[in-house]
Amino acid sequence: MPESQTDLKNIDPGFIARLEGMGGTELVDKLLDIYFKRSIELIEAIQHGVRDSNLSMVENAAHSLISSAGNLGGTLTSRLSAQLERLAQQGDPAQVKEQADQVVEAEKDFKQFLKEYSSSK
Amino acid sequence: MKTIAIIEDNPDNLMLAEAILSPHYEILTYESGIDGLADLPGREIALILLDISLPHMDGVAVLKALREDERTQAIPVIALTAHAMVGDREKYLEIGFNEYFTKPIVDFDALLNLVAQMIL
Repeated sequence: MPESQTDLKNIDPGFIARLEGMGGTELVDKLLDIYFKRSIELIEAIQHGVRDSNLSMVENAAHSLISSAGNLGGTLTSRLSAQLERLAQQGDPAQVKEQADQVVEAEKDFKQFLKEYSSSK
Repeated sequence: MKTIAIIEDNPDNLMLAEAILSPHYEILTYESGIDGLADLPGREIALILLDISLPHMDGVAVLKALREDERTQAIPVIALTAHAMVGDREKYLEIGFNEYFTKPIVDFDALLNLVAQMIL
């Protein structure tokens, strides 16, 4: 997320409506399918990386999560992941763990929102 | 319709970029720089969107290869990246990209406008 943005909303609910407006429900459904699978892998990679002090693993997974979450309106998850990527590059395991916990928590809320959206259709 | 190539390994980024651009352009997609470099020379490509963080051969290395091949050296290349710190745009332009666009792609019109400005 660009540093100039100060959007603190966890989720941009209008974003999915914009995606639907552009590409229809088919596009949104495909993006959701991809996200539900990828997010599990990425969060697991972050958690494994923290556990094993493999900051490169954390960095790479956080980098991917920036755009994967952001592509569906997960603004807070995206922003926290960008911060996590930078912390992993800087190399402090304690700070990385703290930030990773925030990412995992935000992503859980975001995924819940997406699941509720998906099941409400 | 003009043809745009998108080189991007994340399937959701690829799908979204293609969805935004495909009403206006023919789209060729590649999940790796190696695949893109194997296929693009000889094709008539108006612009390339190139992810920086590609596996095996990153976007900077792919750009270098594109610029060294006389068949692809003139094609405008837009860096696609989730790195959006102050100074990143200048860094990528210095490396040789024609422009850069940050991921996640949240402003669809901004991408369309940038592509329209840059396209051959």
